[in-house]
Amino acid sequence: MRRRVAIVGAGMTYFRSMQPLTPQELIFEAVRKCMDDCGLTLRDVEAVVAGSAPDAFDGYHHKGLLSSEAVDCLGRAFSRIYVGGGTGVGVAVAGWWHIASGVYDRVLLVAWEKMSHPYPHAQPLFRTIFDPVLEQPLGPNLIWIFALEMRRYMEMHRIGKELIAEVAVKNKGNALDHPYAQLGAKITVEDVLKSPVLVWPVNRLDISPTSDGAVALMLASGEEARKITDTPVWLDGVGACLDSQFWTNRDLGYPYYVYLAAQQAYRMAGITNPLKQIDVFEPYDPFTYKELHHLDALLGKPGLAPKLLAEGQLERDGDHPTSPSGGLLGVGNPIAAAGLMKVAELYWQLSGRAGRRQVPNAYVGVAQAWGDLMQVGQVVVCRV
Amino acid sequence: MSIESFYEYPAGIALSIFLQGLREGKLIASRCGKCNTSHIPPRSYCAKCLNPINDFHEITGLGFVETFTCSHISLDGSQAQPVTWVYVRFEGVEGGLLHRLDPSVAPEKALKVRPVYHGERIGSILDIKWFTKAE
Ligand SMILES: [Zn+2]
Repeated sequence: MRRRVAIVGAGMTYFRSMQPLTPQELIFEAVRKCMDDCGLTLRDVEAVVAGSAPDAFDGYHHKGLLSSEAVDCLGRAFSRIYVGGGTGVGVAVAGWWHIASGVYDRVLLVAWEKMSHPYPHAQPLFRTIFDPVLEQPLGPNLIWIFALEMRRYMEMHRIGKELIAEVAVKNKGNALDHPYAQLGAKITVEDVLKSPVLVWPVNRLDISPTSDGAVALMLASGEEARKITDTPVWLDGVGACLDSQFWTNRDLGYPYYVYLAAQQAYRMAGITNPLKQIDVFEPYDPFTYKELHHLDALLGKPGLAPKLLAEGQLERDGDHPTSPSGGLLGVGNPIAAAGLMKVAELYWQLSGRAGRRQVPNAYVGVAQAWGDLMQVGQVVVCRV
Repeated sequence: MSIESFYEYPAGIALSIFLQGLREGKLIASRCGKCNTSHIPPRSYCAKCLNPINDFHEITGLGFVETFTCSHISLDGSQAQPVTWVYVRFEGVEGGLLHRLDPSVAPEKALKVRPVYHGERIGSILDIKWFTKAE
């Protein structure tokens, strides 16, 4: 029989570019803060689920091992989850499997990224996500695929760049209240539109920054959670799905694979009307339009997110607060860590620990990440 | 530290036929014998039916622009001459091709396009110079 799973602690490092710390040191810091938060020691951990993006960023293979000492792996089960940009939330989904299955009671999740290792930039490494025979010879950079999708999305719902730029304004503004954020700022729509065009219609300020950082969460079975804390945040729904490797087979205007992952999580958590029943949304926002694109799928209504944005409903004090953390655009995008940061934000928001970012009346939240070449959907639903 | 390694990828059954087609100045699609779905680039199996595919056929080459972008940066992220890239689909065929657009043509949604081939061809996606407006 499936068991209930709770988040009982969280910790994270600063998200910064070019941190003069090793991956192990970043992981150690996040794990130590997480253990302090829940009052456990590593001796209490039965299994570790770790997540980090491609080995190519570190130039070091089987880099899951980098976390093995900082999480004191001796005598514990360890697995590394990798689903591209979806990894961070994928780690939480896999952690849920560990406990819901009845195999473990206390599972540590850790996700990290050091994107500043490759010199001069991580950008060329992303070329290897494209098909080697038909696409790599064209010399694609990562942003192409987003640009093709963004234009299709703008066309599908007849929305302009002015509206989409509001996502950057909102998220960077929200990040001003996040103590670990890299790019919190007060900016205007005009700042976004006037920033350099990189791959039209994507401008520089439409993109989240590359970053270094780590996040750790502690999961426990229901019975254990009540012993550890008075304020568990329940991980009541998880969903994960992939679409075909071939992005050319999809309508880029709607991420159906995210919709299906959300529906799995909602079914498990008893959510039938996400717009009414969910108080906090943390959709994956590596690019401005992606927040809207993903929120459409989380709501199951193509084109609804831009309308809510235009009405100001996605603000922290609006009816449907979205990325109150500041998201990847504001807090930063150390890939796997950024996804798990979104789950940590639900933990902080729903347990009333979000400080100046606190959303009033937050009881149910959804976090989502997406990745690979436009085909990974990873979703978790939390409640108190 | 740098990793020095070259990679060789086999094109496999279906893409070898596709690349041979490009060498001859043709676009080749696959067709599943069970569900009759055509696909470009061609596939050696049908993911819907889990059926092996042996039917490869030439398509007209007349396609339309599904979406497009204009890149102002190079592979390493540095500034570069703008290049327009189009994602081209073909009527009645699933999938599509990513390629350059003829710089003398303005991109627009649903623009009808056709491939322009280089004179000398070696069996590569780069045997197509770019797609241009089809009259
Ligand atoms: Zn078939």
